[in-house]
Amino acid sequence: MKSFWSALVAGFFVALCTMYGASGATEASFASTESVHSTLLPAIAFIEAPVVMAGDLTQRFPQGSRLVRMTPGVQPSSLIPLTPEFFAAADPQVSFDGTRILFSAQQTKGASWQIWEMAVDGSGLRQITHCPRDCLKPAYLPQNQIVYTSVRGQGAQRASAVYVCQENGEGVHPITFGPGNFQMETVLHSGRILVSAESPLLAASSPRRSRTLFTLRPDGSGMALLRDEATTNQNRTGAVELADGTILFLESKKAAADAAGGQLAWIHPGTLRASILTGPSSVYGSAAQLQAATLVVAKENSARPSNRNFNLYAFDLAGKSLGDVLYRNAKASSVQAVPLVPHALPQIYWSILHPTAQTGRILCLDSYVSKDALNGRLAGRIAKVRVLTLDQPGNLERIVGDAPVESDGSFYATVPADIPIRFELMGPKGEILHAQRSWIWVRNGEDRGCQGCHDSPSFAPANHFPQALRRFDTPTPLGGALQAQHLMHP
Amino acid sequence: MKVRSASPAIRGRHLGKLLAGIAAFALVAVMTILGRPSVASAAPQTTGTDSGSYIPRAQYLSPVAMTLSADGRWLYIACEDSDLVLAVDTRSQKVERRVHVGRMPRGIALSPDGKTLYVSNEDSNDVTEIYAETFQVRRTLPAGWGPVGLTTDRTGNVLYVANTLGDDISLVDLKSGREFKRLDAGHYPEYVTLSRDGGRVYVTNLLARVAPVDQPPVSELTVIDTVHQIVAARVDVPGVIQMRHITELPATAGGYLLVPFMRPKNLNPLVQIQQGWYLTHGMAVIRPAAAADGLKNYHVTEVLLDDIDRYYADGFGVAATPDGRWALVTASGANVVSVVDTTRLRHLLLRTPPARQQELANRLDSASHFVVQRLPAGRNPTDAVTSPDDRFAYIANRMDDTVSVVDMRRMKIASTIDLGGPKEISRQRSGERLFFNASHCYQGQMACATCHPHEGLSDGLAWSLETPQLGRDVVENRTLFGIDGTSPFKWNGKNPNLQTQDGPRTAMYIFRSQGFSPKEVNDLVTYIHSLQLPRNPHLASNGQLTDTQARGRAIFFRDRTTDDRLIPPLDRCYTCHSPLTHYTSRVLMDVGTATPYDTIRAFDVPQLEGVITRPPYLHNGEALELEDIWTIFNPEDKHGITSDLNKAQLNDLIEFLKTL
Repeated sequence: MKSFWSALVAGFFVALCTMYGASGATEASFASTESVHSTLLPAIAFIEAPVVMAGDLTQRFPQGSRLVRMTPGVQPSSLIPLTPEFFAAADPQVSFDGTRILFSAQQTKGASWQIWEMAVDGSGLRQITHCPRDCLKPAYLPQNQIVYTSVRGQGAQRASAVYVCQENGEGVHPITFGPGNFQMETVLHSGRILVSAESPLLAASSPRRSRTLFTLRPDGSGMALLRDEATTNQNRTGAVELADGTILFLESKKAAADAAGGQLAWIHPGTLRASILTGPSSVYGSAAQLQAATLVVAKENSARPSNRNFNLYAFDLAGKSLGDVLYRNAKASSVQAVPLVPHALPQIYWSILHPTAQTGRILCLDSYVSKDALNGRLAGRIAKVRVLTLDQPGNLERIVGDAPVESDGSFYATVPADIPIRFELMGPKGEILHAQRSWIWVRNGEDRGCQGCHDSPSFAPANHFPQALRRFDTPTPLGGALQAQHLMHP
Repeated sequence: MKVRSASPAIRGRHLGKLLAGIAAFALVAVMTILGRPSVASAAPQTTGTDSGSYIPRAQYLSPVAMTLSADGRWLYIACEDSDLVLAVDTRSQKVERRVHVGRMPRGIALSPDGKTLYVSNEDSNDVTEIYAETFQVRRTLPAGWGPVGLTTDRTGNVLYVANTLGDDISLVDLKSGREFKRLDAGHYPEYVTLSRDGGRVYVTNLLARVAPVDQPPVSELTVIDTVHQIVAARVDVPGVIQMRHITELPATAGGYLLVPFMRPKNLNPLVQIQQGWYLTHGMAVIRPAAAADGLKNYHVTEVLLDDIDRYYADGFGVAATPDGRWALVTASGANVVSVVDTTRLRHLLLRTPPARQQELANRLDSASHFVVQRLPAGRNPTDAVTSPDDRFAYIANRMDDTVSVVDMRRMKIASTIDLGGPKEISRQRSGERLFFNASHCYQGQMACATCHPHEGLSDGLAWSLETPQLGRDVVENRTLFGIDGTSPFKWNGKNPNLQTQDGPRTAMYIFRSQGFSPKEVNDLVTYIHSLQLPRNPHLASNGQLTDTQARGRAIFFRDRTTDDRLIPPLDRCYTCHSPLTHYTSRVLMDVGTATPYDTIRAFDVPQLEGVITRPPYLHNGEALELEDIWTIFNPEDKHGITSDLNKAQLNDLIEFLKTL
């Protein structure tokens, strides 16, 4: 059976190669191109752009860009432009059945970015989103949905969040609800969504802050750090999941505003820490799994900003080494390559949120648990937990309420849904013992659990019935439906 | 006693009362019209099924236990669904011999001289002795209830057999062929191994000791002194259940015992599934006591085999290479074999300060330090054995009827041996495959079999499953044996059939993932309906009751108290536990057992067939023994009138219930 599928996939590749190779709709508008590779590899789609910039998602291709399709090993003349009617295109993603491409594009210079879809041969172009500002970095979800990044506002108010809608563009709704400039990264096989955001998730956003990886469910519940290592001065983005569950991404010591790429790094399913695959002098602009042991990567050809140019290479995962060049254009960068092949449908996640609920609930098993503390436990006696929120606009912090903390460190409270919240652990005299920095949220009807106030994803909880659940007056209601006038200033 | 309808469609209080009254009336009427079962029959024929027509179990092989000849030439395989033992020539990788044994062979052992095979037959409660060379049955040996694991001592004179349903260990004199001693084990003893020095027999117990439900489970490794043939130690393995096979590393590799297990988090409300909130899978690493200290001091460390983002559900088999360098652990729900570098494992244990060793039991990043390969096995890999020359390992794939051959030098699956089972997959077999497969759960964390081990058993734990009332409605897990015809399901009776029980709600609230397709649900239900109660040795083969059992039966079916007062119909045992419907009335009853932590007062009446095999009792597992139901949890006679019964009468009643 395995060989049957291998043959089928190989046949599919050959058919694609033949089809595209025979097409007369080829173009090589960028001079000095080169495509080298003799092994049979799947066709790819990628973004070609004269200039690639770091920072704001909407400003990555200031001189425009195009989505093209190519079969490695075939001469450059086979390069097929797919978006001739757009000023810029970006972020191609291939549907699970391998027949369609989802991408973001700008019709004219200065126009807003929207999400579009077409068949892999460029036919059937259609606009999915009609965002008031910019929508980029889309990905397919199971059950005919897509997820993408929405960028809004100007200056200090500029922020990004992640949204979900139907493939026909209807049913638009956010799934991130706090500060941090969330951006879509990829959909994981488990059905979770991998996003990146500034770390910590502070109200005062800054493009110079570190960016790291978080996971959440497609309904926006269960947002958590992918891993817990400190990410000071680290920028993690461009993440994809490999077939074995490893998360591959670009890591740069530069802040997001300055990093158009980084070193290749990965986190395996069983490891807490990321490890770097490539040397510090190499800068990569994107990576995706091409075959079982091969990536297609965009690697910068020069460290000089004036001559920044990314070319496409094969990358051998086993040897952690750069392989043959797949496509090179001396006058343009080639980035964001994705193989035009079917890939596994992620697990469907059935949301158990309650659409009409105004609140969610937080259950903390042991608020003394903290990876920041010596021996993993906070000192002092925790008497209560204070929940705060951000009052928009102005980022004014307000108190939602206080809930008692039991002697085993557990607490159980109801909090308003879909607003930023953070926690402060307080002693018997009201002194703040420990304050959470990042803003998180609880979705409507979500039961959100945490082991402690800063627990590690590498620890499973102890088997213990929390005292907070023995009480009959929990969950402690905090904030109600959050009428602003009911809240107190801290 | 109050009766409530189990129908989920009925919400109105008045309608509920009306139906409760109708149900109660119907019960009494049926009992009156049909009369009581005859005295000679303790387990009368029941009527009504949920599954419709009976689908016979196809003759799949289901290899589940293996042993190798001393030279590595012959691989002997017990196949539980076909009542066969196979001999595979490891050179040709073909089945060369086969022999029929008793019903449901589950364990296999070879005599020290390599001439005799012993095969435990769980469903016929005996052991088949086979000449290894000719593959002819020599004789049938006695065992207890549900024999599974077995081994001889070093002399080959004594056979130790773990009787899983009897909670004991039979010692059989192999010269006379007679059982001469029986030792108490823990709860559901299943697997047995002889220590390398021959001085001890180690027995793992599948379930934790029966204990208060608000405490984490504690399982037992039972250690038998083979010289004195007594239990030398009962080693606590805290926080785990489902300890399976055992392997002992050689002294040069630390001399540890390795035992796969599952760590349930049944006391935590199931708020989320990720990060091991439901359960995790791992391995006990037990350093045996030195003989000098009386075999009593064992040091237990627990490590997880799961990764942070991927789980390896339902550890089952474990085998070490003879040099002790590698250990293989099968994840029967993940179709994976984890290869453990025992040197790295030992280093992890040695460099972890004693004060932090307890943390290892919950660390999801430990396995990356000592698991060097995750090899893809066939479906539902169970037992594992290694060749004497360190070159190969063999993995029994129960749901594939195959054996995977692992090349230990290349650390790869070298080949797969087809044992020759039917190639057509029936609905029931498809359902059985689904039952053991964890891929339908988020991150592959669990299969149906994870919480229903031993092919459908209850795990003996009370779980906090229900939302939106976190910490409320903690309920005891229930068996899947013999549940056809006992609908509705769940303690709150909300699921009218198994399709409802195993469909989208399981996907949403338990698996937190995609779950089963409608066809898969139907296949799964077909399989679950096929699960039969084990044969009950408490009842004579002719159905005749002992005097004690007959007295107990009279109490069960009585309608007058000991002082001759009439017992109201709804306060009689047989009204709610009707023998006409598997000793359940299939309605909800308020018997006064609800606690302040319950949001409902009435619970589904459990069937009593096989009741002796599944303590603890009551909806929340508070009653550790049957007697507790009446002496502790029925102070106001709401659970039938029992306060007039003395200790002897309750004992009689229990003896009768054991026959069901």
